[in-house]
Amino acid sequence: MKYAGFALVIALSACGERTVAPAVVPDDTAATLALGRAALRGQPRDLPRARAYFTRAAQGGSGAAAYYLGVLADDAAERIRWLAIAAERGEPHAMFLLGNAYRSGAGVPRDDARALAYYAQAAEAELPAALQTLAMAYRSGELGLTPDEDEARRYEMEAGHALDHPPPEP
Amino acid sequence: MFLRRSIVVAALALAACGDNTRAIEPATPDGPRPPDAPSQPDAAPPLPAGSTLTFGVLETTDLHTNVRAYDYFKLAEDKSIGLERTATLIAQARAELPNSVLVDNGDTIQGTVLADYQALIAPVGCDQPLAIYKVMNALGYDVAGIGNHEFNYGLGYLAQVTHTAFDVTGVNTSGAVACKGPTFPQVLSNVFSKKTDQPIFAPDAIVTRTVRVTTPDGQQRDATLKVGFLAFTPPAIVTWDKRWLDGVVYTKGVQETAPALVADLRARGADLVIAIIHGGLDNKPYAPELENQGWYLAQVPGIDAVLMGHSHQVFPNAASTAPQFNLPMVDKTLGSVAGVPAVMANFWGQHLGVMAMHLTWDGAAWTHDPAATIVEARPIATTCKTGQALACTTGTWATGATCPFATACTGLADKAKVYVDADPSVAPLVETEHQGTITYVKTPIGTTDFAMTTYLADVGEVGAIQIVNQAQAAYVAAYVQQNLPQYAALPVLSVSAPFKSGFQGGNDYTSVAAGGVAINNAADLYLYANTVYAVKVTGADLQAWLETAALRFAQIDPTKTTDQQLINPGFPGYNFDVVTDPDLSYEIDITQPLPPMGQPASGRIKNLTWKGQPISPTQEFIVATNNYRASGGGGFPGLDGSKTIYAAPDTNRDVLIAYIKAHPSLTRAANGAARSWHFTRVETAGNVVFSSAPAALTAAQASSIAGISQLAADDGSGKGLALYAIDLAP
Repeated sequence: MKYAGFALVIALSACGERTVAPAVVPDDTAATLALGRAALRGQPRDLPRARAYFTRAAQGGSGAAAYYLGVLADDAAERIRWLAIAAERGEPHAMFLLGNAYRSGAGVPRDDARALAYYAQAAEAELPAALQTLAMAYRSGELGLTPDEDEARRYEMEAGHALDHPPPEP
Repeated sequence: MFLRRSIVVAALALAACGDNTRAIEPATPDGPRPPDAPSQPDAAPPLPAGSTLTFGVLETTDLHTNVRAYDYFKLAEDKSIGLERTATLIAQARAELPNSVLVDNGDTIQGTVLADYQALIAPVGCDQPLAIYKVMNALGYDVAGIGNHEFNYGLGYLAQVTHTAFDVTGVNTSGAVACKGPTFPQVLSNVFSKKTDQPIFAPDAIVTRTVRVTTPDGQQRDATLKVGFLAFTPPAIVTWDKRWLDGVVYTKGVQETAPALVADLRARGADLVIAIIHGGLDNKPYAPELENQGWYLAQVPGIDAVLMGHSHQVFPNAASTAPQFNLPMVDKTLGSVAGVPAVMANFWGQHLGVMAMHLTWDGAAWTHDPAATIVEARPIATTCKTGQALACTTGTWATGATCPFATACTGLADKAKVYVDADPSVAPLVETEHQGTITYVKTPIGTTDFAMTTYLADVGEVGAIQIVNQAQAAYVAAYVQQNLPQYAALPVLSVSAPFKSGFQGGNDYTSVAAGGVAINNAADLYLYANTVYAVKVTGADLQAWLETAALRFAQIDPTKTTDQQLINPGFPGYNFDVVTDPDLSYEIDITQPLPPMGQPASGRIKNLTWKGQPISPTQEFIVATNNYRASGGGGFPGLDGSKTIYAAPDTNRDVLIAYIKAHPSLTRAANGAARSWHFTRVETAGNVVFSSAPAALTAAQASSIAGISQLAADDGSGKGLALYAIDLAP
């Protein structure tokens, strides 16, 4: 790991407690992303610190970091904006969540066709949840699809197979 | 484009007869190579320049032990899959292209219950080949690559079933060479022993075929063709099968390995070089560990054809929207990558990849015209539209040969499916293994003293759900205690949903009768292929989770005197997550409205308590669920992949099976009565109605669900469902 920059950031979290955010910001996107994840999953979790790391890693081009900024966003438009960046950078989990957003109309106009396209994109990346979503949609005729048991079965097979080598967790 | 190969001159010989004799020359992983014998005996008159040859390359990939067209969990035929049907296409392609080789790309020995049965339950002996290899031997495969899933059962098993000794640390495979296995060479060019730095399988092979050639004057003659093979597996195997491979083997990428192997194959007289890659296409900047290296492999000079796999796609496919087939230099209509013919034959035997290569003898060497090569992936099943089969609307394959579906759709309705017949010679070869697997699937792993059904899951009956929750919670709790001490103090809850809840009719319910519980029953209790995930949530998250699940119900107006449907048809049963924990309790108030579109659900979950105390919004819980839900499936607020603390390698179904084996006597009291939720009591002026299986009333009587009455034996849907009412103030 390479440390190119040093920054001391003092952040106030929403509940007013004082949090010391990254004292040392590594100039390595993957490492910064890992620090963000650690802050997010810590016990207790440290959101401001996590956001600071993810912002830095997203600036470094990380799709996973953009995904985290999306799921941590307080506002629907911001969430969609970051998820779209993450999806463009190839993050399958973000594609899947965009599919959910267009399916339910959360933060975007409801649009089954766009939802289906995002699910298909995530399925192409072998995200098991996306393959399962398509299986269920074909079985039950959701998202404007005509019920098709063969397609449902095909996607179900794919979902099962993809479990053995899913895309990495963001 | 016309590729000219500069190779060692090989004279051509007349074979003794016109049949396709076959000789193979697998390279040894280490040690000196045997000297190259001249391709042709001196006595043969030279083949005239301008002689031509159509050479077929047939590919299967990702068969995953789907020998029979059969679903072992449903214990029923599944005509859409299986090598026994691909075998029919293989026979037809060989009749059309008598000069050909048959190649399997890999992911061959794992992926069905049959595979687990032979690897883990009744381990195949050294004295016989695996079922799939028996069939492949009989079908006369010429060569096979090694996929990533070949490593799933460990190197000891792989060594035995492939009768290949690996000189690696930690596992003694020296006896493997004496075992039965494939009678064709297996090739793997990019996996190396850490101990010896040598490839663990033969890194290449040359298959020598006697082929029938047409001379410029139209005469037929026999000649010899040497076809060289190399093969690559995804470098990520060392991560995916870390427990077997970490510190034992290492991988390299195609750019590090392929050029020298191609040069060597040419030097040893290969007339053609075919690269098998268990991977698809990706144009991300090259790195040796890139998962799908087909795009880079096709650009290695000297490769005549690329056989792809792993990503379970069909290529060529003009209609494909897959990003990997819409890259620069990829012709998804004709089937080429960087001008090199390329094919991918889907998975589970659903397609056969076919290449018809056109070769010309220039007096010194065979030249290959890639532009004249025909590439296609032929399916074992297709759909009818206006009396025609979509797979071959012209009645022929791309090569001009008659398509087996040419007249299959005549008189059939649109969307009817048609299938090639199974090759009858296949099933008898594996009958013992097939029946053994079926017996295993039907073997009781426990007993139940109550019928476990989802007939009444929508109204609170948990007979088919609680056991799943118990298994998931126990599995996650054990993992957390051992491996995640920072979370060890948090309560572990579990959620599961009634995956089969009557959408397709009266038979679309989970239903396990009282008595023995077998593996296939476990598949009924846990329908989907999921893996266990654990998420860490707050009390507020949990409330939002249950609020979303409560969208399963329509809004009920208590003052209405007419019948009101209980179920919200826009919210599928597979998203109706239910907790069955004696310490957790909540009510669902279905007089409250559904949220406006795009807004989160709220206002229906009442009196949510943990151990009798209201749950605070900041209180933390671990919830055992599945990968689908934890990744955001169903659009539950806050469940977006970011809360996962454990993504388990085991499937929910396997975890359920293990739990039942450990607790083999299931009872209503211990495993089917822990309702965590009730409807909020409300008197209604009219009936609240729902549909379920005709046997639901019996299920109600056998459980503690009160207030259920049958209104009609047929709900009028024509789907074998009866109509019931529920009294919300019983």
